[in-house]
Amino acid sequence: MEECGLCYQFMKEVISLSQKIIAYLSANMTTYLQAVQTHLMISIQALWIAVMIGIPLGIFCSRNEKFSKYVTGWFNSLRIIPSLAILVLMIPLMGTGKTPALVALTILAVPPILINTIAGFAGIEASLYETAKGMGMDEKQIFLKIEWPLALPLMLTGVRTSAVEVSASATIAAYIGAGGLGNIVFTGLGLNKAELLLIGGVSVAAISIGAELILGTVQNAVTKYQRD
Amino acid sequence: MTAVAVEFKNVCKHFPEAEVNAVSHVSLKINQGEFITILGTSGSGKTTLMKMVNRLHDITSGDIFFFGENINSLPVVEYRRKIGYVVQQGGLFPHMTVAENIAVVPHILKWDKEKIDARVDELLEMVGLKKELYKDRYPRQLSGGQQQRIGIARAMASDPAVMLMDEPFGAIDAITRENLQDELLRIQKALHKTILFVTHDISEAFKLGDRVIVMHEGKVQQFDTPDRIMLHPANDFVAKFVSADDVMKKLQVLKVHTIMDGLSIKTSNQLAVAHVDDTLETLLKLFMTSSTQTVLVKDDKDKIVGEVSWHRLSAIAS
Ligand SMILES: Nc1ncnc2c1ncn2[C@@H]1O[C@H](COP(=O)(O)OP(=O)(O)O)[C@@H](O)[C@H]1O
Ligand SMILES: [Mg+2]
Repeated sequence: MEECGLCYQFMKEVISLSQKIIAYLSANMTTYLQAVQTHLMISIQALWIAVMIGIPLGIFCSRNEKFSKYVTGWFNSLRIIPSLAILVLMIPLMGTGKTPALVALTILAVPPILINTIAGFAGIEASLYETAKGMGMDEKQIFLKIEWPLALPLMLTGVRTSAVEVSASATIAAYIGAGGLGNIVFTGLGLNKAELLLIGGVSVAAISIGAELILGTVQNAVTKYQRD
Repeated sequence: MTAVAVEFKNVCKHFPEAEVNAVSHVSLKINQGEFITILGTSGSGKTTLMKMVNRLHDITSGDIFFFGENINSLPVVEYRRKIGYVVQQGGLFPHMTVAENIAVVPHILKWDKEKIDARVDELLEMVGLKKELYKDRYPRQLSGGQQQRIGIARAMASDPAVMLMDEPFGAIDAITRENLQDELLRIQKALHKTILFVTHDISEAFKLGDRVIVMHEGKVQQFDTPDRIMLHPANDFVAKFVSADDVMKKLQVLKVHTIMDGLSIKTSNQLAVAHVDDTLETLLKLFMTSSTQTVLVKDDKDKIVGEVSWHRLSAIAS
């Protein structure tokens, strides 16, 4: 009897929660979509800037061993700092708002891209490079036709890791004024409203999974040659 | 008179911090159309000698000439495109299909698409691989032997006059290697490429080479035909290295034409016939199975050009 009572109670909760979700969404659709858009925008911006920094820097490091040790050491230690800490540390440095949030997210997104780019280029067999040279390719051709495509799979792994990291951390970035789905989550926490936590959390998860899927498909396409 | 394809003039290579020269005072001339093998133990300087030809290594002192021109006076990238280069394991680019690999040099030479396609098909046929089956495969979907064939096809794509091959069959099983050697010989005979072929395998060097460069400690010990190296080794090192006093080795290496005499008897179709390029080992088997005192010798065109007596063959052993 008691078990059934619990069951019944649970079902009732689920139904009431669903109703609240539907109610919230129908009343605040614009706010919700705005939040999704803001969340996506800041994530994509941070990822894009991190790619623009991480890949060139990674390529440079892969050609310069001494510099590489220094940079990877630095970025690896950066990785140990929790994302929340980096976000909070931004406040005394840059205050709150979109820009410090973007800077913090970019800082979070660079290390995986950088480190995988270095690994991707450094991992190319020296003999391939020499064969390309021996056949009469110039430096530019070797880079574009041999090194870039061979390093691309690992670079994409880095971008994938960063994409997941950034889209999740963007939620916390609302804490320092980034806006986005984090706002809904934090409001839910403040007002003790489970439906807001659910809407926010599921949406963030969906964005992360979506990013994984898209980048995974791209990666599959460029690693076709590694499979039978 | 045939042209000199590659000439070394007192060439030395010294790597920074090395105690001795990797290549020391090498002077020799390689004629156009010759198949030259470079033979020596590991570390004797074979690869270094070869890589100076396509300028992957700078020359420390001396000069190398390519059809009469000092290679250091030529624009390096364009110069390398005139030389085919094959390395161990083929050095195929793993992210490119077979067709794309073969097309690398034609592509950088900006040939048009039809010409490249036709050339790829032609080369696949030349190295004995069906284009429908192999064109779109990636290197990892090929066996070692097939990869080597593609490596050779790729090196020949722009029809270079000179080919450099660094132990191309080194990592391949014995039977496949024999096949590849035979095919390379066939291709070389048909196209008259000048080939420099590095190997540490004595049989391979003697089978393939019109002339063999024997190297040791960076120095050329002897540069001559396989027969002359076997019969007249220049020094103790060469004699020992090629086992010149080993009768079986001699039989395996020496060709019938080295001991052939002019025709003295009337040809009769009862006599066994050997080919001028057969080894003495093959000839010996022929003597043993046909139990004659004399074997006739024919050339490429099946014309009888000489004879070998049992007496003559057995003299090799002494
Ligand atoms: N890039 C290099 N830097 C320094 N020493 C080298 C280099 N390449 C080859 N050597 C040295 O030069 C000598 C000849 O090497 P190599 O030409 O590769 O020999 P082989 O091809 O006959 O095995 C060896 O002692 C080797 O250690
Ligand atoms: Mg070598």
